[in-house]
Amino acid sequence: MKTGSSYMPQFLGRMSFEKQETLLKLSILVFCMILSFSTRLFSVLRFESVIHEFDPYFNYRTTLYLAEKGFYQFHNWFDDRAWYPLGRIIGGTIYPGLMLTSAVIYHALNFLHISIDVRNVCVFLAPLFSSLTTLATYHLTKELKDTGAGLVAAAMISIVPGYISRSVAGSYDNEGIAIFCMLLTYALWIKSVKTGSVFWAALCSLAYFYMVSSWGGYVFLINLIPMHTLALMATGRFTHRIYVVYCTVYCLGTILSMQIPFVGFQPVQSSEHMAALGVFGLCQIYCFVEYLRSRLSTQYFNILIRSAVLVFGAALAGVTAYLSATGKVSPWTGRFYSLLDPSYAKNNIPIIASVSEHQPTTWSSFYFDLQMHVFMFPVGMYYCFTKLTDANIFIILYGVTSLYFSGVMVRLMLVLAPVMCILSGIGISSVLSIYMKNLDITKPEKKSSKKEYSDNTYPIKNEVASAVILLMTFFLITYTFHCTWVTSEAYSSPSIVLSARAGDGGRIIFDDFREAYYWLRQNTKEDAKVMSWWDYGYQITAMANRTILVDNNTWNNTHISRVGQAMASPEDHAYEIMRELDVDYVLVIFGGLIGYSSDDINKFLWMVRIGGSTEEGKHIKESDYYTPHGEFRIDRDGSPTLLNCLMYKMCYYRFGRVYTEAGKPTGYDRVRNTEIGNKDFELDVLEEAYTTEHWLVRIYKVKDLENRGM
Amino acid sequence: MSAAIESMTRYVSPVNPAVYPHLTLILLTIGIFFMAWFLVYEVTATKYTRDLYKELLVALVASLFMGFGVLFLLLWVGIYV
Amino acid sequence: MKWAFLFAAALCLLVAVTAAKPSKSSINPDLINAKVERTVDVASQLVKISTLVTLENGGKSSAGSFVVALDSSLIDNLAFLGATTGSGDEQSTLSMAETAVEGRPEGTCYSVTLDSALAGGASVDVSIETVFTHILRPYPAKITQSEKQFVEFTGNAYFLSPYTTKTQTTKVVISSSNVESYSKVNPVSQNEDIITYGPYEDTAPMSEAELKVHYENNSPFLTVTTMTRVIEVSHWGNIAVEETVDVSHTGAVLKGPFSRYDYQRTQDGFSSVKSYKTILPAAARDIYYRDEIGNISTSNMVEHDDYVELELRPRFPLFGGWKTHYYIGYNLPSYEYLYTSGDNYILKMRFLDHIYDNMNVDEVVLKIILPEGSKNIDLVTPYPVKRSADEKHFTYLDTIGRPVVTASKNKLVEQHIIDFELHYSFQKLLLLQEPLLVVGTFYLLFVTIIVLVRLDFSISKDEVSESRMKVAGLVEEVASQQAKRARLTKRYEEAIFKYKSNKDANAFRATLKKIEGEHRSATDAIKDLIATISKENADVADKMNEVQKLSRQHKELIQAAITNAEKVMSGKFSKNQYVDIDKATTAKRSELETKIESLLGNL
Repeated sequence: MKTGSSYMPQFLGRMSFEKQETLLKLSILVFCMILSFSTRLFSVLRFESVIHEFDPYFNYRTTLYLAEKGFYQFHNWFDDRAWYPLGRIIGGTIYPGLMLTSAVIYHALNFLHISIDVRNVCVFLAPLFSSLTTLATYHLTKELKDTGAGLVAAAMISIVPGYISRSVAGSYDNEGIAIFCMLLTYALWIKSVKTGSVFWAALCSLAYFYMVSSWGGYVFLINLIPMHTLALMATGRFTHRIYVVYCTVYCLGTILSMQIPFVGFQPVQSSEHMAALGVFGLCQIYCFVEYLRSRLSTQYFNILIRSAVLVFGAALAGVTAYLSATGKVSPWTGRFYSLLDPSYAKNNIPIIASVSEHQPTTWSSFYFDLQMHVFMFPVGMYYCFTKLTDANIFIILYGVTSLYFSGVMVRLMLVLAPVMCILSGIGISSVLSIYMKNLDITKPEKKSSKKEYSDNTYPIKNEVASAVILLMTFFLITYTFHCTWVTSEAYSSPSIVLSARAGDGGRIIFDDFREAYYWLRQNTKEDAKVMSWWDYGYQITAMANRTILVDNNTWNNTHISRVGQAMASPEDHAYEIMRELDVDYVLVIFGGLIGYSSDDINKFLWMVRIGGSTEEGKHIKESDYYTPHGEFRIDRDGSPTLLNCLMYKMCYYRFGRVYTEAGKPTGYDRVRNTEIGNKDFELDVLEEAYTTEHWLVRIYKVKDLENRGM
Repeated sequence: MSAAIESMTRYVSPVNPAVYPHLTLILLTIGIFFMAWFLVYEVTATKYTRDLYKELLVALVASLFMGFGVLFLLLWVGIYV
Repeated sequence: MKWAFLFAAALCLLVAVTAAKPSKSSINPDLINAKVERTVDVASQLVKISTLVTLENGGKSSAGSFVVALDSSLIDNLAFLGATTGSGDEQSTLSMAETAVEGRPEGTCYSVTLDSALAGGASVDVSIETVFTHILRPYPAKITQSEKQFVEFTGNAYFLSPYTTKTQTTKVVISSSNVESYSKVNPVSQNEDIITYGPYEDTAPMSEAELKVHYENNSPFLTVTTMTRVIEVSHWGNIAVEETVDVSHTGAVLKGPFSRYDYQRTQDGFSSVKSYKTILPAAARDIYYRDEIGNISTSNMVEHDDYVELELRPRFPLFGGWKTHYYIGYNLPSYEYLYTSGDNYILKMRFLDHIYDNMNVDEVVLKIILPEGSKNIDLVTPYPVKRSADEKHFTYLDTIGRPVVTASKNKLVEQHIIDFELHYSFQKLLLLQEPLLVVGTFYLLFVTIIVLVRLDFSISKDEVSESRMKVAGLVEEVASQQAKRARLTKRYEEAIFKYKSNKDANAFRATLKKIEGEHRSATDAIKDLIATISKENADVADKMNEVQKLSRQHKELIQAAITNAEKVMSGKFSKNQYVDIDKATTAKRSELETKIESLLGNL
């Protein structure tokens, strides 16, 4: 490859083909990594380096604790700030991978005297890991197809919105590192399937261990790998290589995963892990049968098999029935049921249905989050099918299953996004490499002479090739623009700070959440108990540093229900519940003044449903909160139960006198677009303790019991 | 009281802070160029073609430019070391 | 030796003891306060008493100093005490020291040294300034949101002095005309927001009469409970300042609910503080204002010619009993505050800066972080401060840590905004330590890579790939030698061209000889390489031999070109003939070149 040494620098001219390829590969990968890091920084540039949303605040708080107190204390941490009066054992109820990762990075950097605080480590962890994800994707795709496809897939995943939605700077959540762990595990699994070496299988189980330590979604992984093995068995591709790696990965991985306190004995008890165990057993049987088959004559072999299947089948059924009956094998959890049957959760568990990210995915959000992958995914699938290998079967399985799951739950779009990138990476790379060859790039003047020999397969070959390549280029360019637009508009809002366009084109910032939390932090007693709906629990503990009753870790349904009952009851009854729960302050989110729609009134029906879902809250019926026509109204026609419940009163206390919009009466709610029904009332058992500037957060103090004899 | 303030001059940085951005960009560009050269060389060279002196020399030049580049980058972004 | 040491130690101890104990003063009976005009300013949260005393020496002998007495009940709240004489440009500050006076509690008397001794019969005007904090007592101590804040001031109606006072008046300046009550030490009169006590004639030394004013005072009662001011000096031209401030509202405590509706509609909450102005140096850049949970977005900055005004709005308005915590930081260019001469440096900055008007700071901790390797550190402050032991601070690119000078002082007011001086020495060459550290790190990294690629853990040698690698290396060398030959071809052409234009045969010969030698050595090198290759891979060697063969033909063509050139120069060829022949050889040559390249490229 003597590419014109006349116009290139001497050293480049002498560069061999191999060197050029390495340089190109390196620089593309480095650019992908930089790109995937920097595209996630919108919110930092637009707002500040701040933790986003709800769950990340909990992760941040635990990381802070881990970084300060060390692993041992973290492991034994009993958190008395949450779930008052129950408390929560943090060490045993979380996946510690995320916190450990950040704490290790934090300590390592500070050991090198790079002064960075825990918050910044947390904020930038997700972008960092997504740039590592591009590397993992590259390797995985390279193993599946070739280097070209790998590079395309890496470039794709660096900006795919479906993944960015959970990994922007500040979105400090398990998923941020879990996707990396998942793809790393897959890459190592493919590598070990291809080589059949115990070394790669052991590395794969280590990656699996990291995955287990960081996200509950590992269940997907431990079902997918056995499924792959099973598929290989079914297609007659099961070899000793697969046997060796699967047994190694399963045994090592399971033992390692059991080291995580939160997982414990689940890998051998819960039904979600049974598939892996079953396939493990099947591997042994399969090999044993193969062995027997090679030693016995066909006739004897058939008799043996038939009787063995009968006996073992009966025994297995008996054991399973016994274990399920005695509860040794835990029943299918609700979240898993809702995976299989999308309507399950909605009908049975209100607390699961109330979370927006557990809702089924709409068609538009597939396009919104994946854009061109929606079209290129089948193309990649096609190329995988045309050249079926052990590795390709895996990616096909991964694609199909994750497509199904993401349709069930919008949250699982995250699992789908990487495989979409990989498959469309394969697709795009294949299409491009096929048509690039057909492209006639010789100089125009020579064209006429060469035309006859280049057009021998079909007419206008060159034109078709150019058209396809142009189309691809167009797709890729629109993809880039779409991704950037989605990232900047939809996924880069910290949701703790809100912003709106002002009339004069400037930006108004609503910083009410932090205003209220900081007020709590500074001006209430150290041990004050704050009651709020569970959405805000993590934020309050992290930012206000006060004790809360319920938080986003919705492990105790009755307790949440109790809070729901308090919110849904009239004042006197609510007071009893609040005294019982020892509440000092009550916090509500109210968007009626500025038109913030995800406030507590709009969530109120969930409080009613969850409140009414337990024995103690039997008297709370959803129908009481509707008008006779079955509408949920807050104006004069609204149901009296609603107009006199605690939540209503706390939100609209003294709101009846406020003018919110020109030409509208006082007490006009800008979210529900109605004038409120109950305007003039006083609170008997509460007093307003603080209301933020835009009335977004309202805090009430629970009055003491009145002195007797007064 | 070793010296009186009147006899002293005002202290200015040995490098004008206004040129930190330019210095950073120039030094880092050169540094990255050499680093890329070095890395590509390391990856592609086999044990029969390697030349230790060349490697060490390229590494030295790369690290000199990268080192000063990173320092000025820190100064530019406001981490005054 | 040992004895001498002990003696020295004892001496030190003695000195220490005498230094700790204030000197004793006796009251000079000859001194008289001829006229005293006192202004007690209680309009803000501070009590600022400025007293203009005409001091008269009634005796014969001159007096060099006089004694200022302070109320023993107020002494714990004293923030500032100063005395000056003269006015305008001639104003000079008088030095003073704590002194013990018979019959007075410790710490309440100060001896003021006059600029020039006061001769018998002469008189001098002295102005004494005192500032007290936390003296105004909110009364009632708890108010609701809509109520106004009333405070009570308790003081002395007379000027407390160890000398007889001939005539004196006291003006109490309050913040509004709304006065609940004030003590009637006649003669007394109220005019709008000024209450005048006196004139009183011939008051005996140390006479006291209770002065109590209960009045409305809605000025901000903000107290900075603790403030840490960190100044980080970098010799790369920057001084970074960060102040961590704890503010609390120490006025009447809010009782009952806080109603946002009333606060927004009727603008009540008279005693609450919504925002305040902080003044920063004019050169301040990159200003930030934040707290533990992030940026506080509500602040405004106005840049004036000689200062930067920052309107700080805490996240929430501060009512009585509420507090907040924040930090504020900015960068300053070093030439504003850092002076140098050789290796010696002086940092001259304010001990504390303005936070808000009439500020009241309970405690300031000043930390100065100097560059790594600074020595001979000496802190000179305008007023006594508590200096703690030096610490070490580790941050970016530090090895042995940066020295941190820590000093603290309690009870500060605006009068304490004065420069301190910090002397230290620093070797200029140490500035290079940081970049070299980064360079070293990079180099270490690269060397590690060099070592890593050389490591080989494989148990068995893969003969095939070994040999392939070896051949590839050799082929690369052949290729580079071939490239050299290609360059030499260019030089041949140049030489021929030059010869044709200047017709200098001798020079042409010499050049040819030189090029010839180089060409031969390259060809020999390739021959050797091919010999080595043939041991590993005969196939490749064959191809290389092919290259050699083509190259030989190529060389012959060049030789022919030279002969032709010589022939045309000597007239053996006609011009046209030469052009034709030359064209043919050149075409052949380029054909050979392409062949060689494709041979080498396909390996």
